[in-house]
Amino acid sequence: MIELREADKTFRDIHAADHISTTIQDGMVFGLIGSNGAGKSTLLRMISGIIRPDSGQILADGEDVWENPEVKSRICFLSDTPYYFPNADIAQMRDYYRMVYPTFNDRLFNSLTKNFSIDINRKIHSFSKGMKKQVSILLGLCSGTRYLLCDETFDGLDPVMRQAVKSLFASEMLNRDFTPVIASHNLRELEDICDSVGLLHQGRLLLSEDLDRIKCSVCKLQCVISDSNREQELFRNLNILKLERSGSLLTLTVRGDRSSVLAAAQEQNPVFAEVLPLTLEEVFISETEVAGYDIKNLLY
Amino acid sequence: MTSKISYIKFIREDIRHRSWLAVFSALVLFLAMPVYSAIYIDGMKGAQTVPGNTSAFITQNIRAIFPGLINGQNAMIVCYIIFLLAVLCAATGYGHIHSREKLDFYHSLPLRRMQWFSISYLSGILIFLIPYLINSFLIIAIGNMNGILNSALAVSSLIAVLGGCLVFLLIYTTCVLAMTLTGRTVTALLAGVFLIVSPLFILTTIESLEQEFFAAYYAPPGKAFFVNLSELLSPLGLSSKLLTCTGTYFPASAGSELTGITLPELLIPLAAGIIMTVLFLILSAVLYRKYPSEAAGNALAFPRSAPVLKVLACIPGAFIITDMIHAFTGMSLEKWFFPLSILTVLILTLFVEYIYRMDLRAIWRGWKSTLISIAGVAAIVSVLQFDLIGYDSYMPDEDNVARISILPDSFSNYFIYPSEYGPDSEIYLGFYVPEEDTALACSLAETGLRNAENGIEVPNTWEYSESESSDEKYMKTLFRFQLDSGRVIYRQYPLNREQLVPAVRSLLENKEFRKTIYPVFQLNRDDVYSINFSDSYQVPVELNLTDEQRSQLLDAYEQDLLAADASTLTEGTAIGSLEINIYDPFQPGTEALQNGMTADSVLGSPNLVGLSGFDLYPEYTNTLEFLENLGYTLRTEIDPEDVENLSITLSLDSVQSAKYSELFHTLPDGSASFTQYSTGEDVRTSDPEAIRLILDAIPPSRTELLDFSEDGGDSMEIEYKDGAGIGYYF
Repeated sequence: MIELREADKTFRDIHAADHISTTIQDGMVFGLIGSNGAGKSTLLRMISGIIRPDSGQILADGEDVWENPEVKSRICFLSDTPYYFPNADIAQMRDYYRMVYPTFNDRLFNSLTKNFSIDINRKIHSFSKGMKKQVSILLGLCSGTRYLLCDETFDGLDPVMRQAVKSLFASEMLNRDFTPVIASHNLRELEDICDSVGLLHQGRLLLSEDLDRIKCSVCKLQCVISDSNREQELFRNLNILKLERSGSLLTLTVRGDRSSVLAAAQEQNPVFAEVLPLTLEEVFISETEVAGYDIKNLLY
Repeated sequence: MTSKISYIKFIREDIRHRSWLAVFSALVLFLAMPVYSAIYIDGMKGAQTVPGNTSAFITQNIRAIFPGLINGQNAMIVCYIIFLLAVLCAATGYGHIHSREKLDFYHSLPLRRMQWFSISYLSGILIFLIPYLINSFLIIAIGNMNGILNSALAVSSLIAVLGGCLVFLLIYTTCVLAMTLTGRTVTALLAGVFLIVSPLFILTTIESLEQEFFAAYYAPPGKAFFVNLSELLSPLGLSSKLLTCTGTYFPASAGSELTGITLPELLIPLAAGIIMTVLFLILSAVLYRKYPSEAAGNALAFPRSAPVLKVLACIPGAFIITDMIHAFTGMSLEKWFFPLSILTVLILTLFVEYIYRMDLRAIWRGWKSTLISIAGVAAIVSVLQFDLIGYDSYMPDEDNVARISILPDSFSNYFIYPSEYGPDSEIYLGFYVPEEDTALACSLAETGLRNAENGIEVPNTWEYSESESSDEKYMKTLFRFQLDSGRVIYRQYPLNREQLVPAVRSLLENKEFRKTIYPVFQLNRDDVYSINFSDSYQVPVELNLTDEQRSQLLDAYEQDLLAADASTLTEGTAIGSLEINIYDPFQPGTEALQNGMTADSVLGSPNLVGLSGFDLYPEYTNTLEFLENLGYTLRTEIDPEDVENLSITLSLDSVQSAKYSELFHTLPDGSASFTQYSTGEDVRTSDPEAIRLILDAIPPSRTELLDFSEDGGDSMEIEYKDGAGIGYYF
């Protein structure tokens, strides 16, 4: 289990991580989403022991990560721009990871490279960006660490490869104690794979919960209420994140479970009322909008 | 996990990732060390065919340079390669902290930062050390094959290897420190250059500014405080010192004195090198541990240090540059030093801001540190220009002066002492006056101080002064005050003839002082190789003397010198002089020569030092009689009949001022030829009457003990009928 306790980091005048506290449970896929510059990479770099928080603690399995090789040997960090030694081939990188991580699964790596049709004697600098990401994921996956931190690792993979990697993650989680933490802008991708999600905005963690609970806790209400007094009454009774009006049709993004939201709407005798589930992307947009983030700048 | 880490594996991997550097290091060191040395030694052995160069002489010479081939002292290419490899090893070993991708990769792996630091540091050392040691031993093997290796040379060579390694470590560690202080390779290079070079420049510039601004300033050669300090506190100065003292052959039989390097002179730089390396290493390790990951790509790793570093770099930088401009242009210090230093510091601060921000529009942002830098420079210039510390006006209280020495400038030209080449020769410092004359010397110093306060300046010999009147000439005189506390203070003041001559005359009344300053009393007679004698013709003739006669001559001279009136020594006109040649104590083979071997069998030709300060005056009757008895008659003037021809070269100033036109008008018609040039005029004659008239007007002059005369840039050449000739300025 990875635990963040009031982790805080400031780069000059940028508050990259603002007293973040959350827990990443073992055996689950944790997705880290957030606007550009929200602090996702900073958070992952803090968890992997690259950056020391100015204050607060980052614990993995109850131990501080900073300058703790014992703990860091259980964490593998895959950067958004993976680094390979100059002129190295895949075999050399495999050997290096094997040297660094005693738990490195050589057999799995050789098998996967074969399945992915990757020539391990090929120089990495001759690979495309996507191929380099593939190699990075395979190296991280086979390092045998309990925690795999992927910083926008899925971005740049083709859909087939993304699907394959998701399957590999699922397989690893079945076979061993494995907890991937994935930071991405691709919310649809995360929605498919993540068990829980942390939402970052301007260094602050807006929410960190199980994905199902998030989806249950926020919903979209579409309704038409003819009486304006009743309409105002409904607004007062609901925890509205976002309100849109198109003619007489109201579209409300509301915090709360679907049944109670629908019941509240029905109480006002609507002409029409319907509650719809939100996608992760809609949750993200509505939550960040509450935090003052302009939706127009968000999409991919 | 920590305990399981195999440093050897990581170091091996690190070297593998920098394999191009390892190959480059091995290749250039091989070419510059054994290959170059083999060619060089072969070339030196080829000099055996030159007449006079014996095999022993050649071997001795090769041994003298051999250790310097290993550490670069006598093979500059090796020295440059050591520096280059140190920079490259540091830049490649720690380049990862200047790249976010690399830094994320390395620092996410399960190793402590100190482990990464150690791995990079050690692998950098090994990349240099392994090929360097192999190539050093190849050079030693080459020396052995050429038959020059003996036990002393082997020890000297190992010391040279140690010196080379230490210089590498010093520069390498300094560059590592520069890498950990910065976030970009360009700024790391600038910081590296600054750390390596600036202490040397700063300290030597302080010395230079003191010399330029304080008229009374004097630092004896080799004893300038800040220059000496720069050899211990600056990586560049210390490297140079290390290469010099470890690249020397220490012959076991002759002791260390033969090479001019004593054991402390070897050990102090070695200790300083080790201490500086260790300090820089500790500092680098601490900085690496605290290195902010976000620093990659920024100019400096620790942004808060930026203004401090800017001020620390720009203030001395401004003075270094301004001092250089002064040296190159000879600009007036009073007029230009202040505005130029301010302008330089302003440009430097803006340049540093640009380096920090890489944005021309943002160069004024650090205006506070810019202002502090400018204020700092202005304050220092004021201290220098207005002597706010009272350097020039300081005079020790006579009651606190334990001893005082005086050294008029002309003493340095007049005397050449047997120990002049020694490191602590008093010829540069002056000899202490007898205790009873301390008050006299202090009073003379005060007179000099008053002269200086009245604005009297004596230009250095290489400087031209228009202000000095020809009627009243001043001579720089160095005073060395040794205080009761043991502290030694040097000051030099201008003194004129009326002030200096009576004081020196009075000092010379004391026979003990006379014994102190005249070289004949400091001479070890066993060191004397030959004695030359010259009269008014000024053509030296080697005296053919037995050992006993040589001793008798020196006895007579000592007797005459002690008996002479002090005024003869200060104001008398010499009619001849002796020149005593001694074996150069600092040249190889001297010991063998002194032990009775002939010069040819040891060196091919003797290395001699000619001592001066042995003038002959008419009242030196014992000496003159002794010489006359041996058949050496002293001629008091040149017989024109003995002169084949005489030529005078007049400067343009002398021609334009018609300085000698009266003399030339007295010459018989057609007796001399006159040739005019754009730079002056030549006058040539072989007519005895013309020669007589010219020699009467312009006789050959001798250097005097207190010589206030100045040559006017004109010269004369005399060719005697026996083929000898002399030339002199007047």
